[in-house]
Amino acid sequence: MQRPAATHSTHDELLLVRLYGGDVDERERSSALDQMASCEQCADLFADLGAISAATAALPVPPRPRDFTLTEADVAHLGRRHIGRGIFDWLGRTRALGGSMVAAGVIGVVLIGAISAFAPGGSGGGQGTLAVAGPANAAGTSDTQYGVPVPAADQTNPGRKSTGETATTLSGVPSTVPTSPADGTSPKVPSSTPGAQAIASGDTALGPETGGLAGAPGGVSIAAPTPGSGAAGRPAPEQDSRNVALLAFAGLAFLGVLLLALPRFAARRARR
Amino acid sequence: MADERVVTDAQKAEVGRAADPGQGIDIALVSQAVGGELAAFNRLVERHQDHLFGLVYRLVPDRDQAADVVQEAFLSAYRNLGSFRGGSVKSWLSRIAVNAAMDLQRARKRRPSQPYPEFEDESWQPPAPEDFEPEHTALAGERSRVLAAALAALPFDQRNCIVLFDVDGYDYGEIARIMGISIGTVKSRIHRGRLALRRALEPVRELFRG
Repeated sequence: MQRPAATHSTHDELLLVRLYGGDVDERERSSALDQMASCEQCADLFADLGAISAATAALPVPPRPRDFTLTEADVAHLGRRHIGRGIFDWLGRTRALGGSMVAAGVIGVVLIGAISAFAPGGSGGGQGTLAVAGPANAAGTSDTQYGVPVPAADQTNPGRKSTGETATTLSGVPSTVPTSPADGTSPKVPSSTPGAQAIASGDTALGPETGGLAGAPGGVSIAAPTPGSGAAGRPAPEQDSRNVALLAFAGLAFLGVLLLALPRFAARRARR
Repeated sequence: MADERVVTDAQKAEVGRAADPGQGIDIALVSQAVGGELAAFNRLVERHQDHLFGLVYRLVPDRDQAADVVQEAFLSAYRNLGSFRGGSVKSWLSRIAVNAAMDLQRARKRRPSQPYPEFEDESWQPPAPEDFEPEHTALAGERSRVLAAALAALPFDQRNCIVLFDVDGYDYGEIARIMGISIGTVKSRIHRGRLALRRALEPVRELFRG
């Protein structure tokens, strides 16, 4: 009187498993028993559950490989490891923070790089850019402004001649001396441009840090800064701030990498 | 320190109430170990190390790794003696061992390239019984091998619950406490695990009959 096996696929096998585990109420119990009575495969399943469970309980276990009692050395080591593990566990939780820091750092570096590349005069590293701290001269002969590239031809400033000084630029590096007013007084030179300061005051003793020539005769000053030093090599203030931001973002990314690496180190330590 | 004192007093009081004499001994040993007696803790280790190794070996079927897990569990138990709040010391140690095994299983899940080497190693077999019959022994060995492999293929949450239920004889509530999950979740994991196990072993079901 058993139903054909094809109907077994419609039976609730989980109900039989729950019956085996004693996790059924009275109604479910009678339903499961009916199911087993009418379906040979359901009855087999129930029998298999019992056999597998018994075999699981009888699975052999190999002999214990060693004694697990603790020694005084284990206990002493445990105290030290507890402290170390506490620190490294805390660091391990900073993994997410590390990832965020790396991402923020990389994005920052890329953005600053893009800004430097596309901003006017931003990528020249100060070359061809006037870094004039003082106001435009009264004669109005120069269009020197912050960050505005000036052609080499413009570097010969007529206003400078009225001071009786000769300002010579080398290697096409622009002079940073503001033109003097027509009355022949020395122009106000920003202290941040030592080469230019020397020119304005007629000082002939230009130190090596100015890139000039010490002891030039006849009050002739030569402002010849080497690339990357002296007044002409100094980057514009906004370039300075970009560099600072670039360093900050790179530092952030580096810290993030450290935070990402520490949990691995901690895990290796813990395994030891 | 005061906390430890309270625990110790509570444990001492429980020694007298413990119905199981073994349980009473365990609680007395825990009390002494909390007071700093390493020898008392080591007696506790000697009483339970075989059981814990058998339990962990079924969860982490690699002998060396199972030994490491058990050692880690005893170290953890010693470190957290103050957190024992009475009850069954065996269950408390089992919970610590199961948690240590689960940590290893999670780590293994993250690095699935490390197989359980002893599934491939059939060199170890249980000692032959007195009434040694080669055919019977071969059949039992084969049954153990395929069952161990099927157990290992289960999700470790299901495997842990089945081992605790079938091998250690814990009930649903105790397993829920050990694993820190609800009783309903324990039941669900055991039922689904059993069904998966049966499906996996269906081609070799003759091994389990008779």
